[in-house]
Amino acid sequence: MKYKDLVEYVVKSLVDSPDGVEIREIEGEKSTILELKVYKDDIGKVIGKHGRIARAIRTLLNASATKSGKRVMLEILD
Amino acid sequence: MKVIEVEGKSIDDAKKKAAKELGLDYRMLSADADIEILDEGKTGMFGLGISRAAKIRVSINVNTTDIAGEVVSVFTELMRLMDIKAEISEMHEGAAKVYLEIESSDSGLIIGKKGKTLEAIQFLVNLMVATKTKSEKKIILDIESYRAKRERALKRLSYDIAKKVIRSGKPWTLEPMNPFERRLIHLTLQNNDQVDTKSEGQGIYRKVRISPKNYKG
Repeated sequence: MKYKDLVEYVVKSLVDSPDGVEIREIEGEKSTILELKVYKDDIGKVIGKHGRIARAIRTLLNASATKSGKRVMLEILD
Repeated sequence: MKVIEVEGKSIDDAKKKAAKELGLDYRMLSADADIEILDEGKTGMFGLGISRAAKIRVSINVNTTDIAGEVVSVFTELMRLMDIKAEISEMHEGAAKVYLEIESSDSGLIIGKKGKTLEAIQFLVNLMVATKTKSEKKIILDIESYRAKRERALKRLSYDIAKKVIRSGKPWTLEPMNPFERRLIHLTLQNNDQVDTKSEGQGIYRKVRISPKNYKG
C-alpha cells in the first residue's frame, strides 16, 4: 500500500490534474506492479525528458523496497 | 516584495512607466501588482498654470511563499512514505538556493549506489517544490557530507587518471557521471597543460574522457 501512496504523492504534486491520477497495485509473491494512469496532457510531467522523472520515481520505489527484498515495478499506461 | 514609486503626466502614464520598469505587461499590471495612488496630478489649463505630476506606488509580490517550509514538508512526507527515518539537521535558505543537511540511521539507503537515490530524491523535491510554489530556487540535499566527500574523491580520481594518461600517452574514459560531477572533473583538470578533457556519449551514459594534450586518434 505504501508504494502506491508514495507514487500517488509524487505524481499528484507534479501533474496539472491530480484528479486524473489513477494507480492500481498488483501484488505478487516476489514483486509488486504499479500501474499508473494520468490524463493525456500530464503524461510528459510524469515521464520527463529522456524519462528522467519516471526513472527518479522508480529509484525512490527501489530504495523503499530494499528492506522488504521485494521488487517494485512502475508501469505508466497510456 | 518589491515596491517602486513612479511619476508620470497622468495616472495612466505612470502605470505604463511602472509596468516597463518591473518588466510586466501594462494590461496585467492591476492583476499582478498592488497600485496605490499617491497623487492624482494636475494638468494646467491649456497647458498653462501649475501642473503637478501624477504619482503612484506599485508593489509586487516577488515571492511571498514559504519555500523553506514547503521543502521541509515535501521532504518529510517523502521519507515517511518511503519508510525511511530521516531528520533535517541543518537548513539554510539563500537568494537562489535552499540547502538541506540530512541525518539518518538509514543514510546508505538514502544515498544509494553512487549517490543515485540521493540524486533522485533531490531531483524530485526540486520538481515538486517548483511546481507548487513556482519558485526557481535550487534545492540541494546533502547527507553526512556525502557531497563534500564525493567531491574530494572525484578530484583525487581526476589527478590520478591524469597522471596515468600522461605516463601512458593514451586516453582514458571515466565511468558515466552526472553533469555536476563531469563539470567538477573538467574544472579540476582545466589548468593541467598536459591533458585535455572532453564529455562523450548521450544522456545518463555521458562520460568524461581524459586524453594527452593534442592527442589524435
